Amino acid sequence: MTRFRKTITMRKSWWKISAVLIILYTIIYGFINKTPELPIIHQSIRNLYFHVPMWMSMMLLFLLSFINSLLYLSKMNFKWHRNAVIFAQIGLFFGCLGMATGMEWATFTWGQPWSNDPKQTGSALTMLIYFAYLVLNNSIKDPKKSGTISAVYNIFGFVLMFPLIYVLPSMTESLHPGSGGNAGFNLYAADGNMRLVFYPAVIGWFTIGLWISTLFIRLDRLQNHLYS
Amino acid sequence: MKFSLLLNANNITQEDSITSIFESYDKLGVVILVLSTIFIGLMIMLFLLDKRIKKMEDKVESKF
Repeated sequence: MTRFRKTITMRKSWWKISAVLIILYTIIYGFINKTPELPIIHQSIRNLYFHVPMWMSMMLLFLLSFINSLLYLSKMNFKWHRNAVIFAQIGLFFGCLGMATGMEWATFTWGQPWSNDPKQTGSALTMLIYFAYLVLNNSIKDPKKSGTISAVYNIFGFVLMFPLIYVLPSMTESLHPGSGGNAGFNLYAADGNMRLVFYPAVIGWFTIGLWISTLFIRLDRLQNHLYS
Repeated sequence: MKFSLLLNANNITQEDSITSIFESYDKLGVVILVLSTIFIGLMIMLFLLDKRIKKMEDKVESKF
């Protein structure tokens, strides 16, 4: 028992079961708890428990991808690069979920799913940058070259995410809460009831993202072990 | 455009669709049940995949 001993935490079940229970709690309590009665947004405010945690999970997974790319560049061990790619892939999956829940929310509150809002556009650009990262990684045949170029690109991509999602939308007029002078979620979630669901939802969805990532990482290690 | 201005501009009829779900416990129960079932189904699939990977890891460990 040597090679896979390192993955022992990944193999444990308690944190996975906890994440599932937390999300079940947010689904059930999120639909029956009391929310502030706000005009237009009405009951769709409950989408806060799904939409925002998806984006936060995406950003945390991109952060892990960024850290793994840094580790690859400093240690030149290819496993860090493979981990970075997997975290970026799962982060993108959560980004797609965040985009879908956001567009659904926008249909009910803004009247249409896409209104070229700066934050929507910034999020779409961020996702395109990461899709390009995956394409770049697959397009270079030499693994060493591919690893180094992709890692450098990943670092730039992660740093670019902040101006695209936070800085630029806050400088222009925006429909999105928290941008362009609009009230943020602090105001919506000022109600303690919402915080009781929102924070566990962020933890739960991120843990699910982490779990999916570890499954892919373990599969990748197995493949590597069998074919090396 | 500010959020509040937009809301007034778009004459939203969201009250009819989403809010109606929260008017009766029957509808709300069905929504919660459907969402929970889909989620649990997906999580069971993940657990099965996890178990399978664990088995493969153990098999590889025993070989080498």
